Amino acid sequence: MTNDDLWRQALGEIELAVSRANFVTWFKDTKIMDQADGIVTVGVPNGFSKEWLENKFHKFILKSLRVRIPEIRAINYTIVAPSASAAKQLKSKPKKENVLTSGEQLDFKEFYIDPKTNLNPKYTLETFIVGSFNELAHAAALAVIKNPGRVYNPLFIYGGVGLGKTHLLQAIGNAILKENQNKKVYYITSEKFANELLNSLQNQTIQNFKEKFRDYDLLIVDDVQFFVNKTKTQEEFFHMFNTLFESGKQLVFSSDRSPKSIPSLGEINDRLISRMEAGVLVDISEPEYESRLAILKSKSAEKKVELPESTLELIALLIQKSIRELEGALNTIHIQSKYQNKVLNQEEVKSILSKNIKPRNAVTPSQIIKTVADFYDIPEKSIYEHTRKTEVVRPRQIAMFLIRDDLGGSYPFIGQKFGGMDHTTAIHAYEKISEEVKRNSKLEDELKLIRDIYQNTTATK
Amino acid sequence: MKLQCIINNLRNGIVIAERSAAKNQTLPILNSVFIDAEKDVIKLKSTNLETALEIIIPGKIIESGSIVVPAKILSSFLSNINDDQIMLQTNRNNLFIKANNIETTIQGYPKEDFPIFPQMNSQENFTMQARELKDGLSATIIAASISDIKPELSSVLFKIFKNTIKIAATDSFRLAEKTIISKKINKEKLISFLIPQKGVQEMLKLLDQDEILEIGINKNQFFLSGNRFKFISRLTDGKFPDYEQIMPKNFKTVAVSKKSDIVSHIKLASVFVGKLSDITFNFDPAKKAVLINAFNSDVGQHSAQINSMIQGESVEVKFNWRYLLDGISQIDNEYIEFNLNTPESPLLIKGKGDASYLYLVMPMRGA
Repeated sequence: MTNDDLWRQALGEIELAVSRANFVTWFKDTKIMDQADGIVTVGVPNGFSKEWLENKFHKFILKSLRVRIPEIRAINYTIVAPSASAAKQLKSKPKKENVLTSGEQLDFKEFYIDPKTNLNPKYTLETFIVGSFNELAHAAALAVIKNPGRVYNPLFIYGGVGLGKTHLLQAIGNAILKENQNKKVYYITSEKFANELLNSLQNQTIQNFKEKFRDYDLLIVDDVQFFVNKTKTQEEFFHMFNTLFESGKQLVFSSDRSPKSIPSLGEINDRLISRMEAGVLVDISEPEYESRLAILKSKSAEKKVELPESTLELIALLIQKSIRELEGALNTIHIQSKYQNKVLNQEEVKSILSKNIKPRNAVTPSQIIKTVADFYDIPEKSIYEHTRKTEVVRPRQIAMFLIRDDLGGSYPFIGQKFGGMDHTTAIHAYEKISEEVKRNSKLEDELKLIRDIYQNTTATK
Repeated sequence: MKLQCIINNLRNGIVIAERSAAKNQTLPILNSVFIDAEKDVIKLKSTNLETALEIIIPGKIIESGSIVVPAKILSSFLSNINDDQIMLQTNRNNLFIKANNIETTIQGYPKEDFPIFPQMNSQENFTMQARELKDGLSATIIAASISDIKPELSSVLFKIFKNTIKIAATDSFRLAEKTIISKKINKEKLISFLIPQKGVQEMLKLLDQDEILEIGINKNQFFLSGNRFKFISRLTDGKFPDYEQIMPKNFKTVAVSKKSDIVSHIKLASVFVGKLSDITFNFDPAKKAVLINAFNSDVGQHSAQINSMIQGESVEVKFNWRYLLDGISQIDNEYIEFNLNTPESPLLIKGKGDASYLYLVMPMRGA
């Protein structure tokens, strides 16, 4: 007999013996919480019910429980808040909510976040658009949800800004919670972790802090690259990581670059990074056109924004870099057309977006060469010389690769640019780097950093 | 039981006790007040199972005892007699009342059926000046949500650490926080709890004298005792949003205006607001003024200029005027400081040079 059955039968008997009003008042929202060694714990909704059942109905309750299970010796009463569903039933009558707050009044967005888990319920797997750029990460996430703590632990997701890392991370948390309400899930950014740690050190509550974190079944830490330079935080985090990992708890991390290319500073960091790499590493790259369009469609449906298909296509075409920029562009177009009260034509959309998009093609080959030279700390003019020193050859190849890849320069043009080299040299350089980038994640990150530099400098000019 | 007292004292006591008694509860005894003269003082007790109140009234006990009578009947009866003194006496379960020319019997309930009050076994105790508590509660409860959907938002948060008490409430559109520094408190561990709005409202009515209050809390309950009353409220089970993270720290625009100016201008403009209650504020450093603008297509249009000290960027932003006025009127300062960043980020209002009360309000879209 389950606790619920037992209590239902006991209540059936009690209900016959007391008045309806008494029964409803004192036995509403009560239940058996626990039964062990002949001691039953009854959960009651408030202090009054506790006193009342203890003082007035105790013998009666004991008797009706014993009829069913003779071993029961004692009953404890404890106050528990009624479950959410029961509380809702109580308050089912609609209150007149502030009419004026509808729509136009902005609210504190942070409050949608569940304070227990720090998760934002709007991030779910259902709203996560899967394309070739993120399908690996998505599959790894599904595996983790299916089998938390067993496979793929820790899961490390990395990729550029605004590509949906946080969405995927939070969706993992939300999905695990959905399967099992009792799982202890917590999402935190590395920055907040560092702040909380600092506060607890100041307030001398470090013990509470540690205990809190060691309790979680799933810990999700976003943007771990910010742990760099914070030695004390790293140390604390490292210990926490070990504790959780050893007890088979699932850990999920994200970063804007692969663990290898997080600047290493000291021993702790190296140990931490090697631990993070022990599970599975997956990256999210930039979405291709079809995914961007699918994302725009899903976002506009979610926000109830109605824009013509051709406008969405145009946005997807123009904005290439990040999903966050896509969303921003969608909002901008939507607000503009709302206030102008008409459907914007292609030209208008273009002109609005061109103000917001970073010009991607404004980079010149010379700028790329200069950036590469600066990055590898060699004199710029040495790149143009026909030297075969390794420290020059490699940057030269990288510069060639970038000019070909980003600017689409022809091989003869590239050869010309580099002090009249043969076009086959350029072809060789391009193929060599594109092959290597597939195998060497360090190189990939270097390329990313270099690209960041010249794309940002030209944008600010 | 037999006792004698001044009608006014009894009347005032019963009116207070009646507020804490249940209304429309299935169990009629919860709509009653318990008159307790077992020991040396006369106590009135009432509860609706969420809050409970015990209040002492002056009077003379001739014979000890106690009785339970319907609160509504007793209070209506008392509000209509003009005598000076009154005599109450029990007659089994009935209450017999005698004044100059009146003899009345009110049917009561067996006192054994009256709910037993939870014991005040608190895990944490502290004391507070009644005036401070009242100020803190009244300044923050304005921001609490009136809807019950999220219980933590329709409650008032207490956060006590070392010698600082923070009281806060929010309905997710605005947030009010009062900070009280008290020499009497020194908690090494952070204590935080949520009191439901109804309990707070009752406390505000109870706190009419300046006295030192004893406060105790345990996992589920809040106990407040003063010289002549004891009050119990359940605590809200839930977690208040981590609101400190939404408090902006840096601002692009800071304006200081005279409180009386700003209050009267908001009220003036409120005549012309549309159904969204929106007023547009333009913080203009060049003009050294806050320009306010209200427009209602059915009524007309109004604009005004409030001379202010403004530093930083010019910004135009729209607010629900009630939300603004709610916060501003809680600030006891000649000058009000407005701190803001963009038309879609929160505005922080406080008294000039005083961070003990902060009021944060979100703007409306489309300024």
